Formats: sequence, C-alpha cells, structure tokens
Amino acid sequence: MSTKLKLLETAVARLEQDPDSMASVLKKYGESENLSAAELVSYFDCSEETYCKLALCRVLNVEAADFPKKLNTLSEYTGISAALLNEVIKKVHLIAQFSRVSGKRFSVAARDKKNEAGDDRQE
Amino acid sequence: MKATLLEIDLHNAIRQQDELALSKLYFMYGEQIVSLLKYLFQEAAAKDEADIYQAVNDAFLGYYRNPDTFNPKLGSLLAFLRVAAKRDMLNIISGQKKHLSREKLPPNVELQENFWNRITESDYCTDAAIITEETLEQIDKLFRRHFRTDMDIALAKMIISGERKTELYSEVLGMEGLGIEEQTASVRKHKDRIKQVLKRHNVEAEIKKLIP
Repeated sequence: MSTKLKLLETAVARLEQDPDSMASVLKKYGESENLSAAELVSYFDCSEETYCKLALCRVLNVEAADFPKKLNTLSEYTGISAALLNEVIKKVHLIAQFSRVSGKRFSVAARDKKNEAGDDRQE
Repeated sequence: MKATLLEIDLHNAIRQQDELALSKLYFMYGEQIVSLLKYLFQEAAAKDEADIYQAVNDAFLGYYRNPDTFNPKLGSLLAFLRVAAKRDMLNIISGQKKHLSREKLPPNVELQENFWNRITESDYCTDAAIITEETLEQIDKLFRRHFRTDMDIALAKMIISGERKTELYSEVLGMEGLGIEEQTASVRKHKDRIKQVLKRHNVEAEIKKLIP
C-alpha cells in the first residue's frame, strides 16, 4: 500500500468519530446497509484513494438551500455519481433524525411511566 | 517565503469551513510531509510507521480545527505544517520515552505527576520556528546547487561552521579504519576540494544573505 493511501486511511479512521465528516456518514451508512469499507468502495465504483478523498470532506447540510449545488460540487470533486452521494447522505440524515425522535419518545414515555408510578404511590 | 496564492485560497476555505478543504489539504501536502518525517525520524519510522502517520494527522487536524494559528503573511502553509508535524512527532517520541521510563521504575516508587515534573511542549508553531525552518531549507537548496552528494554537503557545512577536528571529517568520509597520517592527508585533500567550490561560488556570502 502506498504512503499516501496509508496516511489517508489513518485520517479517515480518526474522522469516523467526527459527526461533521463524511467519514462518519460513510461509516453509519455501511453499518445500516451491512457493508464494509471495501464493499462501499465497490458500491461507489471508485478507487480506495477516491473513497478517502470523499471521506475527508465535511458533511453537506441536507436542509440548506444550496444542498443540490454543493452535492454537484462534491460529485465533481470525487467523480462519484451525485445520485449515489445524495442517497447515502440523505439516508444517514434520516437515520439520525429517526434516532433523535425515537430517543425523545423513549425519554417522554419513561418520564410518563415514572409519573404514573409516583401517582399510584400517592393514591 | 510567504504563503502561495493556492495556499491562501485553501486557508480561507478551511476558515470558512468549506466542505472539500480538508480533503484538498491532505492531497496537497500529506504525502510530502510523511516523506519528510520518515527521512527525519528514520529510527522511529523503522520501529513503527504508525507514529509518523499519527504525527501528520495531529498536525493537519490541529490546523484544520484551529486555522487561525497559521498566519499566511508570515510564512508558507507547507513550512507551517512541516514545523507542526515535526513538533507532534517529537511529542510522540517524548511521550513514549516517558512511558518507558515509568515502566522501569520499581513498583514502590511513586511518580508524582505535578506541574513541576511535567514536560510541556508548546502547542503553537512560533513564527520564529517557521522562519528558521524556511531559512534552513533555502540554505540546503543552496548547498545542493553546488554539491552533488550528501557527503560533500556535510563536509561543506562542517567547513563553513568552522569545524577543525580531523576525526570528525574522517567519520563523515568513512575512513575511521585508516591510519592517522592517511586520514589526515585524505581529509586535507577533500577539504581543499570543497573549499575551492565554496570560494568559487562565494557560498559563505550567499548564506549570510539568506539569514534574516
């Protein structure tokens, strides 16, 4: 493996914990689809170096008005199809929103249950 | 040397949190700085290459997260990253040495970690460090213009810095096994040859011009 690729891979591994990075988006997408990094490389039909090039980018804001423009810029920069990038970014965004909502519901339900138990004791 | 236009563009992109900026930074200078660290820290690289990558990542991500630590008016981004990566590599090595020395302590000795026995390294690349780095690079380029081999460059640097000990020259020339008279004669021959080149191209005066 080349020096360049080794450096890029170690940088991507570090950025996987950073929610603002595409490295973290790709990791979450891989987990949701049960795909390894190597399988994602085939999925994007690109080289390992291009995969790292993408992973080192900052994640795009799906809700921003200029999202389509930035998606095209990212696609041009990496040479990966904009449709594929759109699918990956939006799916991970949805997963994040879903877990946020279900997390809230869970805590509301837990609080209600606790309150009910408290009421029962008072009675 | 100030930052190039390309570097200034990239620096501004990083400050504005441009989506592609970090990726571009790695592709622009990543490989170059890894090669430099591998050259400068050959022993550490042979032991564990991962330390080199960690140092480069520390330098790049440190700058990416705090881009205002770099001032494009004072020096190039490449020099800034080189200084930062070298500093991070030295920190890794010193951390490992500290860890090893702790392991060697007898179990009943308590090492008190306080302000006074903590080794601290500066988190910033000082402007002076960057200027020194760039001056050394220019001096190195100057030597490479006039001398073909690393051995000749080393001899030239020794002559310019006023080194007089024959045994040190012999060491550079790899003649430690020879007799003293033979060493002295050969060292003199090599020194004369190098001195002629230095004089012909006025290298000493050129170096003085480079020093700020």
